[in-house]
Amino acid sequence: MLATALLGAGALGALWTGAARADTELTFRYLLDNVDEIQAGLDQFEADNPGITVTMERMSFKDARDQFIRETATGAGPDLQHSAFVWIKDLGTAGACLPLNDIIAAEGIGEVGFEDFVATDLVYGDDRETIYGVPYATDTWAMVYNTDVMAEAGIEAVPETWDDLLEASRKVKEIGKIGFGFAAGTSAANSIWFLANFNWWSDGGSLVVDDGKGGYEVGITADQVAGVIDYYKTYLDEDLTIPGSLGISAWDDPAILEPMLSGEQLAALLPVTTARSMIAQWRERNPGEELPFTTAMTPHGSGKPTTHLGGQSMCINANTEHLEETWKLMQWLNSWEFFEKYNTGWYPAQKALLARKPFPAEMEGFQKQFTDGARSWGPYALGPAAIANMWNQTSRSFGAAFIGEKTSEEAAQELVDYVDNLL
Amino acid sequence: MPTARGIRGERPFIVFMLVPAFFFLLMFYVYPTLFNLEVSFTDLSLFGLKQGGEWIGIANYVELVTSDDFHRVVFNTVVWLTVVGVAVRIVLGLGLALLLDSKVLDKYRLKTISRVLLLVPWATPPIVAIVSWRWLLNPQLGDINKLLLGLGIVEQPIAFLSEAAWVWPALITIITWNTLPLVALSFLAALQSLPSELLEAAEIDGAGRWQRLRYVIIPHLKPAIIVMTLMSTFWTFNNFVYVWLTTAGGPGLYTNVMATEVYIKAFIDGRMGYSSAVGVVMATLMVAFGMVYLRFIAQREFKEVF
Repeated sequence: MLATALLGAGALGALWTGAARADTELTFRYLLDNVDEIQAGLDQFEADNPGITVTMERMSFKDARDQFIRETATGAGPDLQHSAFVWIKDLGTAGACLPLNDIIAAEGIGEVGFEDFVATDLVYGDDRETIYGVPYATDTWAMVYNTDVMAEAGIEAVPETWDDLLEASRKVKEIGKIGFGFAAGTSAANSIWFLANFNWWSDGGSLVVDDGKGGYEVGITADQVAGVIDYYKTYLDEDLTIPGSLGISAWDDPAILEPMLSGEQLAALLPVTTARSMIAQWRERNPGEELPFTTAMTPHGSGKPTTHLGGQSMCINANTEHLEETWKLMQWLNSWEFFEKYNTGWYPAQKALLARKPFPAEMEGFQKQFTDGARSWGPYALGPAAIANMWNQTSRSFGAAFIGEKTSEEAAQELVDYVDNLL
Repeated sequence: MPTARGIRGERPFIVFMLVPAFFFLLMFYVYPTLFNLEVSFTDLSLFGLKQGGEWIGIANYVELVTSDDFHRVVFNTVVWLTVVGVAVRIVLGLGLALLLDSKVLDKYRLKTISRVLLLVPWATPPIVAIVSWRWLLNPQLGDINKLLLGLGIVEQPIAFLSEAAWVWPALITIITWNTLPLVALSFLAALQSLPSELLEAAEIDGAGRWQRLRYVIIPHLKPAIIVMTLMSTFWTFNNFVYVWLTTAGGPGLYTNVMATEVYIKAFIDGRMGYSSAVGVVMATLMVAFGMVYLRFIAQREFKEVF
């Protein structure tokens, strides 16, 4: 009788414990499309941590920041939010992300520690002390050239400068093909913002700079802005880029990638993940054939080639009731095992892990860009102007000049005045 | 017929029955409207929703009124989106209704099929219509460009949704395609209530086709035209979906309208206060339009209602 009672009590206890463990249900909002890989990694996390279940929510990148702010303002939202590098300060300011200083000090983060992460300047709040997020994955952009088109047009080496790229595009036009294919569209989520900044940076300018007195200022003249508008406009005016390029806004639009794959286009400026998937697609279509692509650092002006060190961070919802478990998940997502086995398409945002991630030979340009030609958004994100505002205005100004609604000078002055006013 | 005393006696019951409707009206219309008005006088930021905004008086309205960009947005909304968009729909809707009511379709037994076909665009959700049209108008892969290139009409593909000369006509084409059936069917219903004796009498009196249209058909359709114009104007003026999903207000500010400006200011620039001010201006313009329209045009036609 006693034994039965004890057994019954034991069974109840086990059930209770099980029920209590199963109560920890985390929600993780992920914004990219490699869902199957990430889900496999989450399954592994659940297997390693009995009693914690993780539900992955999906949302498009462009809506995620605002949605998270709205949710957290009402006490809701996922426990762990995937975000762009440059959102963290805004999310922290909005009170959406939990301050992490104490937990990082107590538990540590990553393989080597917080200092080993890249772009940590972007995860602090306005006070420059409170840490609101942890960088997670990183990427940058570099040039991809079709070597068959280069050979056909008699181009012997990859262009070094922006002017070289323009000349090469003119040569390619002579053989009836597309030169430098880029998205000149200026609607939402456009990529002209990146192209403009890469050009300014490689010429020694920057839309936003630290003024050395604790503030920020515009670090570029209206003439320099107008010069870059005119540079890209030349491709449109002389038909050196994709026909109808004004209608393309995304860097991974098929209109840019397909001519590269079919050997109709000389070059494209792409993020590392887009370049990898484009090359993989070419291999799938042309098994056993020699790859007709080479990658190189971006062209430059009077300075050195420069792109941005982009990527994503993770922030813990300020309203979470499961900090301990969410932190475990954060640690797992930043582990080498996770990047080696699951999130294989992305590069970890820790220098120690990044050094271990192999770059195939055809991706050499990206490796060089990562190590010698990528900068953080730095003052853009740290200053008082939200990047989204500057991005939006840059698009409007470039768009107005591209379609002839304004002159390049007017559009440039408008942009400089706008950013100056924000700063 | 109820007497005045009888109505007075039933008043508590009438008020009681109206309370739920008034409650929902207050909760879901009056309160948000007043809250939006209050926010428009603050500098509330998307990133400061928890902290709230500071009272800045009419600063948002002053900025809005003095902004060249906002003038362009108002012009786009009023002239391109609303006046041109609605006029095209009313004219084409009228033409389509006359065609569908014509004896030619009857003769070839096409009446039913043509009316069913007319419903297809109306039954297509706007998002599907927009995505389909974006593909059709795509410079590289779109069938319209392929056709134009194939026929030798153009040498280079046209970026319909990005080039200044084409973007508004393309946008209005998409809106018209998706919303024209309702206008046409409304006019068709009104046409079918037109007594055939009237047309026969006009014909006997020597009225030609044009005169029958001008002096018999259009006067008969006038109430329907007025109602459809009013409704289309409200729908179009406030519409966000078509412009946002098609061009997102670009290129530059070329197709930015007030509804997309509200979104851009609130959720891209993060300026909830300014965005609310734009919303208040939108609502005010529509209320003003509605009042003028009802006072000077509709009242003449619907004397029994007013």
